[in-house]
Order: sequence, then structure tokens, then C-alpha cells
Amino acid sequence: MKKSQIQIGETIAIMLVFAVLVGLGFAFYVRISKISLQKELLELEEQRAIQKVQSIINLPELICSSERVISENCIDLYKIKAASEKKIFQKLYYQGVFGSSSINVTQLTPAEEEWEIYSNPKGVSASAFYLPVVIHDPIENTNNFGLIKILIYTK
Amino acid sequence: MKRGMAIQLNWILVLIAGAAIMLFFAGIINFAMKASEAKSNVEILNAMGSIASSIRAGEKLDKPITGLPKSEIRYECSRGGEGQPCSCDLKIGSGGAGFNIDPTLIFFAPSRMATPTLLVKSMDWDAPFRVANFLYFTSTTIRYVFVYDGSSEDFRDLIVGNVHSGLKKEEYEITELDKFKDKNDDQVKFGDFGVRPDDIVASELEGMDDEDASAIMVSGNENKGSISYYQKKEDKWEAVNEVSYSYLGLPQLLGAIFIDESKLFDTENYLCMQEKSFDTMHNVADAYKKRADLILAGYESPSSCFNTYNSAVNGLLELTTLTEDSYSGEIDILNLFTQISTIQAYNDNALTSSCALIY
Repeated sequence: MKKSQIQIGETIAIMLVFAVLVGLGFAFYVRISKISLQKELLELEEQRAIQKVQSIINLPELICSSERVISENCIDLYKIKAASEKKIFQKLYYQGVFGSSSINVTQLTPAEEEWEIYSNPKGVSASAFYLPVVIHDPIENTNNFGLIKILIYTK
Repeated sequence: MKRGMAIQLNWILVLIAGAAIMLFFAGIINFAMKASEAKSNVEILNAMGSIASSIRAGEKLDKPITGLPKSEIRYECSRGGEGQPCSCDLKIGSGGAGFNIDPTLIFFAPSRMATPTLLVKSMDWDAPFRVANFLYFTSTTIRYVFVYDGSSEDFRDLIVGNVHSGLKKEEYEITELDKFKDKNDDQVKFGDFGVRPDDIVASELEGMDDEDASAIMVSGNENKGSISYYQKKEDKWEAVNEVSYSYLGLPQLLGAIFIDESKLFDTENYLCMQEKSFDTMHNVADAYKKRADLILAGYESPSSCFNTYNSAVNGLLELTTLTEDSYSGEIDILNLFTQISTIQAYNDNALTSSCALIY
């Protein structure tokens, strides 16, 4: 083999090694990026679930109000009953608000009572959120202790 | 192989290798640029998304969002067909990456906003009960000019007192419009209260692109009224779509000021948000009506509470009927306003008679 041919072979070999090294580096970078992106997506999903929970307990269709004054962490007993008995949240509009989730309200005191106000269990896994709330009875003007259970389904 | 030929082959190889290396690095740079743009878009979307969520959680906002990556955000609403609900998108940057806005969120923003600083404000819309928390976005690069005549000074004060803090705004009485000067702004938006947009300012802005100057004419008061959109065409104002829209309450009027309808971009953003707000009102009114039905069943007949609730149920039913066709027909604002006042009176009755409040 002539010297020039050996040189060409060397150059090709160096280029191949260089390309392999760069390729490996790039694959490593992409993998690390993917892992960090997946982590970010998971965090984002959790954040969204918490935001959804917060938005649910602030819906005008559920919150306690006295004229236009809104009470925090308080839901109206008759709004819950209306939502459960008259299926208010089964309209298509509320699928945009609640998405794939199930919402149950339990009154713990004075007597235990439970209402299902929304149910759209579409998804493989579900994260459960429990929120203590005041349930206000506007006729008796009493405040009872309750719990909202929200199951948020993910695909 | 001859020596001369081997040298030439070496050079060809060097050239091929050089080109391959350059292509490779160009690819990496391109990838990094795209990734960085995508990251910037995600940053903007995250900032806007978390604001939208806090609005849902009932938070009151009036603040700037600073330090966003430099970009242009486009806001567009469109609908599939006649009588169909519309949907709105936010598109970021030249690539048009964007996201679909939560269909239940009532979001008012200009059709084009430039970052790095956005202004965000929220306001409750009560009719008469809390219906929604409206969200208003705009940019610090947009100059807002409020024009009024002597009779609408109080109305103008109310509007100016409720816009975003930090908004680039000016006020002119119609008689002093000759003082208005072009300051080479990105966009200029006029709010004309009780007066038609004056061509004197359109001619002052003649050098500006037509799409960057627009106006809204407001006729009415803080309770109800109508609005018309105008777009600059050379040195004159031209009505957009030749139609006027109605508004109910100050929050909807503010929305009309911060959103725009553009003939150039064929948008119907205000109409879309107006429909969404009435649709939300319909659903909330329906919930209150069904609650009132249950409470009414618990009152003995005849009693003052029974009578109040009986009337309120009918009033709430009327409210749901009036807002039923928000996607297919014009809402009767006058009748709606009367009905809202009636329900307000029933609620006052409930309060004085020590009954459960209607809302």
C-alpha cells in the first residue's frame, strides 16, 4: 500500500471515530434532555391537577356567597344538592371545566351524607385529592364540616 | 496512483469532511435554536397558563409579567361554522407554536402583543351573582389613547381607573386632539367615549402600518351599551365589519377595549368572548335556578319567603332563557339588564324578610 493511500485510510478512520464520538455525545444529550423533559411534564401534570382542584372549589356554581361577598373554602349545601339531584354538571360545558374526573362531597357533621356531583372517569390512573370545606346551609344558617374528594384521571 | 492525483484526492476528501463537519454543526445549531425557541414559547405559555389557573382559583390580579423571552404573541378566535361555539388560540413567535385556550376561560387580549413585558388584570363579572372572573392581557408596547367629550368625563374616569396599572395610556378631550402626536409606537389603540374616532389622529398616524392603529367607539354607560371597531386605512378610520356589538357591565366593556376585531386578520375575538361570557352566565343562572327550586320546596306556602323565591325562580328561568342562544343569536341586552335588576330586587327582599339569599 502506498503512503498516500495509508494517509487517506487514516483520515477516514479518524473521521469515523470522530463521528462515532460526536454521535454518542449527541445521543447522551438527547437522552438526558428527554429524562428532564419527562420530569418537567410530570411536575406540570401535578401542578395542573392542583390548579384544577382549586378552580373546582371556587366555581360560582358551588361557592357560598352572601350577595356578592364570596366565602373562601365554603360551599353551599343547596348548590351541592342541585348539582347532585339535578345533574347540573353533566352538561357538555362542564366537561371543559372538570375534564376526566369524579367529584364527591361528603358532609361529616352533624350527620354523614354524601353526594356525587360529577363523574367522568376516563383514564387509566387517578390521583385523589381531599379538601376539607365548610358546607353552609342557607336556610338553617348553619355551617357544617365536610370533605371534597376529587379524583383526577390521567391517560 | 500518481502523486499529483493522490494530492487532489486528499483535497477532495478534506472538502467532503469539512462540508460534513460544517453540516453537522449547522444541524446542531439549528436544533439548539429550535429547542431554545420552543423553551421560550413554553416559558411564555407557562406564565400565561399559571395566570389563567390562578384566575380560576378566584385570585384578583393587576400586575406585570416581566422578563419573558422577546416574542410576538397572536391571539385568534375562530369558529367551525354558523351557530357553532368558537375556539381561541394563542400563537407565539414566527413558528406559530401555540396552544388552545381553555374553552371556559374568558380571556381578553389584543390580536398581537409583544413581550418581554405583559400586563395582566382580572375583574369579576357579576350579573347580579358572580358569573366569572374575566382575564385581560395586554402589552406595554401598545399605546392606549382615550378620547372623550365633556359629557362622558365621568365615564372615562371610571374606565381609566379600572385599566391595568402600568398601562401606556393618554387621555384627550375631543377638542384637544390636535395635540396628539405620532410617537412611533408599535401599536396605537384609541378608546372613543361618546365620540366617533376622529380622522385628525388617523392622518397624524398616516405613516404607521394600517394594522397597527385601531379604535373602538363606545356608546353607553358602565351598565350597558354598544361598541364599534375601527381600523386605520391610510389617513382615515374605516369601520370593521360595519356592525356594532353590545356589552353588559364594565367588565365586558373593558374586555371590548383590550380585545380587537380586525378586518385584516378576519378575527371575531370580541364576539367570541361575549358569547362565552353569556354561555357561562346561562350555566351559572341555571345552577342558581335549580338551587332556588330546592329552597322553594322547603318553604311553606303562603309565606313571604315562598313568594320571594317563587318570583325569583321565574326570574332566574327568564335569565337562563335570555342567555340560551348565546352562540346563534344576538342577546337582548336591555331585557337582560332589566331581569338582572329584578333578581337583585328579589335578593334584597329575601334579605329584609330574613329568608335564605337567592345569591
